[in-house]
Amino acid sequence: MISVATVCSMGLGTSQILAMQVRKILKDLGIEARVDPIDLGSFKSQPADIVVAQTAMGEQVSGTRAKVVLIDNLIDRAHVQSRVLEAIEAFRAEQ
Amino acid sequence: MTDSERPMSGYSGPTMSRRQFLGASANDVHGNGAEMDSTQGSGLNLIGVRAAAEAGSWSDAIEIAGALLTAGGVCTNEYVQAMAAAVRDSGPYMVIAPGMAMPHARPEDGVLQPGTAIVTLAAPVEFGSPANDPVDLVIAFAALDKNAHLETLQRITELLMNETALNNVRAATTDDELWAALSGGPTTVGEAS
Repeated sequence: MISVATVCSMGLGTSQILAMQVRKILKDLGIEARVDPIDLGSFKSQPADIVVAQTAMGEQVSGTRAKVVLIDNLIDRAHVQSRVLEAIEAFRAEQ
Repeated sequence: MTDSERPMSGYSGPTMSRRQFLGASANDVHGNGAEMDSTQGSGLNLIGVRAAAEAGSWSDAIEIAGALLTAGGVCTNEYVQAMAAAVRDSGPYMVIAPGMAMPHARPEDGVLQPGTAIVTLAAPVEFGSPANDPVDLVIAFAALDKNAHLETLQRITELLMNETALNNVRAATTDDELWAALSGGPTTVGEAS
């Protein structure tokens, strides 16, 4: 199963909202994935297949094996969906 | 007594303050309170609001929201300073959508009880977010742990995704109008789950 980490610096706000949005999107599309909200420090020690974060966190979430998905607008579900699906397709293409 | 602390008039009877009505119901979302269930404000765990506040900078905006949280007994002054430090150190990512910032700090920074404060700004300010500046809506929250406030975050997300409710929030020019916009908007409970 694809693992998705939604990341922010504390693991309390942005990452939790991202996790809700990504879970809803993947559930509606019937895509099985494990989605975990996580703080930046924890992510670095346990990276996932895909990492989703707000765009301003771009540099901090780079440099692991995870495919990076950066979201400008967390409440624009179409925007989140297109970015996340792109990454899932890219990940699957490499398997 | 400030505007945001005055007893509510209009929709839940004269003996209950808005703080009681909106704040105390957070743990009762799945309970028997049908009236509370029907409001968005309930799950938001709202402690205070300020409409069309005058802020000259992002730090002013944090102070205004933080003052509502401390006045409501939600957190210490140290927590407010920690929110400002978090924005300063890694802030732009907390601007989660165009014009909307969600400042917060960690539970151990001085949270006394969970709570949310919502402030709209008369004139938007820059938080340093290339994608989403300038900010005119500040949603500050205090959480006791990573899971206890998920209901609140879900309600915040539902509110922000509800264009009609969001327009009403931004159009509010008084604290009363802002309370009403946050409490009486179309119910979308469950939509974002």
